[in-house]
Amino acid sequence: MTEASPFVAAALKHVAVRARVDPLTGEESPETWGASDADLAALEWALRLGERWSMPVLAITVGPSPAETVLGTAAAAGASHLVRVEMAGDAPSRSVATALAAALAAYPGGPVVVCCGDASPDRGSGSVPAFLAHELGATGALGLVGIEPGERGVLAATRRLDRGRRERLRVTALAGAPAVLSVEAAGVRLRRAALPAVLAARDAPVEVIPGPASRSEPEARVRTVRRGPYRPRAKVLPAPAAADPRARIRALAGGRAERRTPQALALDPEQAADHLLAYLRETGYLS
Amino acid sequence: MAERFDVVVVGAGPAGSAAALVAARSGLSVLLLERGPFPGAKNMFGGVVYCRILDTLVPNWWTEAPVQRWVTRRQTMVLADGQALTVDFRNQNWGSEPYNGATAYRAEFDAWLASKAEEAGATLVCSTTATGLLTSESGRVHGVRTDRPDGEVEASVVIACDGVNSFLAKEAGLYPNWSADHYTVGVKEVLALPSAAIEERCGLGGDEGMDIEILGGTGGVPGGGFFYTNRDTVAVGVVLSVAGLRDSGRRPEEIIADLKAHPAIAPLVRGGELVEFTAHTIPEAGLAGMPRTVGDGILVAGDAAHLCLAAGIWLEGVNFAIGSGAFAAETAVEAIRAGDTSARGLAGYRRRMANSFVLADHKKLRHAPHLILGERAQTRYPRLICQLAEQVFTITNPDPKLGVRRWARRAMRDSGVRLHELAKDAWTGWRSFG
Ligand SMILES: Cc1cc2nc3c(=O)[nH]c(=O)nc-3n(C[C@H](O)[C@H](O)[C@H](O)COP(=O)(O)OP(=O)(O)OC[C@H]3O[C@@H](n4cnc5c(N)ncnc54)[C@H](O)[C@@H]3O)c2cc1C
Repeated sequence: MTEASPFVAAALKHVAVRARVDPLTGEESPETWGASDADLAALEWALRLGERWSMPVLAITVGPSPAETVLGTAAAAGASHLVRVEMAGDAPSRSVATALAAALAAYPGGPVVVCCGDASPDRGSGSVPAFLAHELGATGALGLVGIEPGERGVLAATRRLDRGRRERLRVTALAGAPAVLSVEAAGVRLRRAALPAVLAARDAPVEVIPGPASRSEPEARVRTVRRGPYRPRAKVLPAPAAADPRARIRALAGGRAERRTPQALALDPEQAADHLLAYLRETGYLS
Repeated sequence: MAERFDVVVVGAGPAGSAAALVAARSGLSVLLLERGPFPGAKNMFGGVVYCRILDTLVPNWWTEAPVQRWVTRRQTMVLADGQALTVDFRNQNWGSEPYNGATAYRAEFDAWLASKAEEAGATLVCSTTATGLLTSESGRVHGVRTDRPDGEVEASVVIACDGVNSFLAKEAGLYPNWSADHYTVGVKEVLALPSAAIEERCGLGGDEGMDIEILGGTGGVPGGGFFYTNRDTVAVGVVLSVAGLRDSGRRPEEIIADLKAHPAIAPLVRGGELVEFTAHTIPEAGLAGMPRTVGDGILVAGDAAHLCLAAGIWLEGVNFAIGSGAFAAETAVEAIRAGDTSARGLAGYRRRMANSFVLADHKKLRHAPHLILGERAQTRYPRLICQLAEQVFTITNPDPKLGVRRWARRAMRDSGVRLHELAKDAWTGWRSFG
């Protein structure tokens, strides 16, 4: 990146992407750390925007040194600049956003677009992108499922709305008037990094910026007073068609539903392959 | 231009990490490739590691290795319908340094061992599959191809530690006698139970563990069973001959369900909640299934070299993998320094293995797999042993006791065992185990 070249940024969180849940106590212990699928999608969009607009891509994370793993992933995929803001891993969203915004705004050239995942899998509230947009004084387009880069600084974005509707957005962004995009883990997958890039990424330099001195939540006009227990989102199921209420309940509960009993077949490989293909066709996986 | 390393190790299982550790410690540049997102992510086993082999590689390994429980109680159990005869050995010495066997989770153990290789200077790259070998016209291996863009890596020596059914060893032409009959499939359930329940049911204290190897109990499919204790889970599973399973028309999960319902096992697993179901093939033919382990520019170690020892009371693979991986690396270092990485330059590998437990145990136990997976050892002998025990312990008053000779004759008749077969198998067993 030349001294003052505007850039596209991807903000990535180092997070427990899989946790082990003790089935007896419900206690969770983080198992696999990395970037969430949504963050990886954000990185891919950032790389595509950077390629299309010929801008460098900066990957940034907030957290202690193990968080640099996600920057390694970004470097291998093509991010040219890596920044870690030194802060505790469990800092509140608002502080994270403030730290991110300060680091990005101070970075030479300034961000044109900042891509973030929509919500982290550690039951994140998804509020960092909104806070970040606020702190940067940026346009915010949140919860996106697709981005089409247009001319430099212009992009079309698709957002998922309730009840299956979609919304198309046209976003313009400039250095000094950037846009913050939060994306769902949908539509893209992070590109597969080339082996030389993976090897080189191990030694890629990471700039470490000290985070804000105080970890206390900045004065806010909206404060969380109480947080209820986690409840998975309700899944909307189409109402069963039967006229009889009992039949509808049975259909919903899956009782007496017709099930195929597992079969064990002794076939030669060719017959086995035919059988599998037929099954996949029958069940709609292959057309 | 392709990347270049002195040694490329394929697979960060125990064999690969041990190989990478030894090669990196000798100052060579080492690339350790793993297809899973982290070492151990794709691996499973029954559950006991015998780490004596680590004493020299990682001194005081027991202070840092991620161990679930130290095995202080070993049982060999013979099962027949509604019957079980158990040899139970308890040894408190195994519960303290330098320990003997330990239960562990592969995701933790493999990741730990790979971190040791990294500490020694090896470069670990995960989520990367070696898809083939780079070979010269003469067939000399000089690197590997991976599934990443620009994914070719040159190396003076490739060490294939890619586990059972090694595609790399096959591609190098080292498996001329490959046969599906040389493999079994291991299937296991991990069941969550409170640690206090595990300790109470198995008569264990604190961090002590129990290991049961089971003969019979596989519904007539040649194989065996196992039960291991972790901190707050137990592993119960079966190892089944692939051909036998196919011919039986049964599904492995049905066979595990039957094993769990056996009165000798049911009280141990009662109330356990299924948290994991895994399956994996095992190279079980011993010496008979072993490939050539050395080629021009390539060495094969661990399960890839069919080095897992499955001999009834012993199911050991991790220690054989670590041992062979370390020997492969020592040989590679020596050959690279001598400037000859041809098959001849790498011939010391076979010698190193032959001079250690790795090949010596296999040689000694070469007849064991055939004996143990045979129909008699699988169905008739468990029945014989249990019937004999039943007669010995059933009080038939007012009839007098018949005496061992007559009980044995009756048990042999009822279980369909013939004396000459028994004598032949006893001789084979003696030659193997004696
Ligand atoms: C059911 C069961 C129970 C067992 N119980 C025990 C036991 O109690 N004690 C014991 O000591 N042993 C046991 N074993 C045997 C033991 O698990 C193996 O012998 C041992 O894991 C072999 O180690 P390895 O490193 O050779 O292979 P693996 O552990 O299989 O490791 C191979 C590694 O290579 C990677 N890989 C494969 N192909 C590629 C590729 N192309 N590119 C990159 N990476 C690749 C794999 O992801 C894996 O990480 C058991 C096995 C089974 C299946």
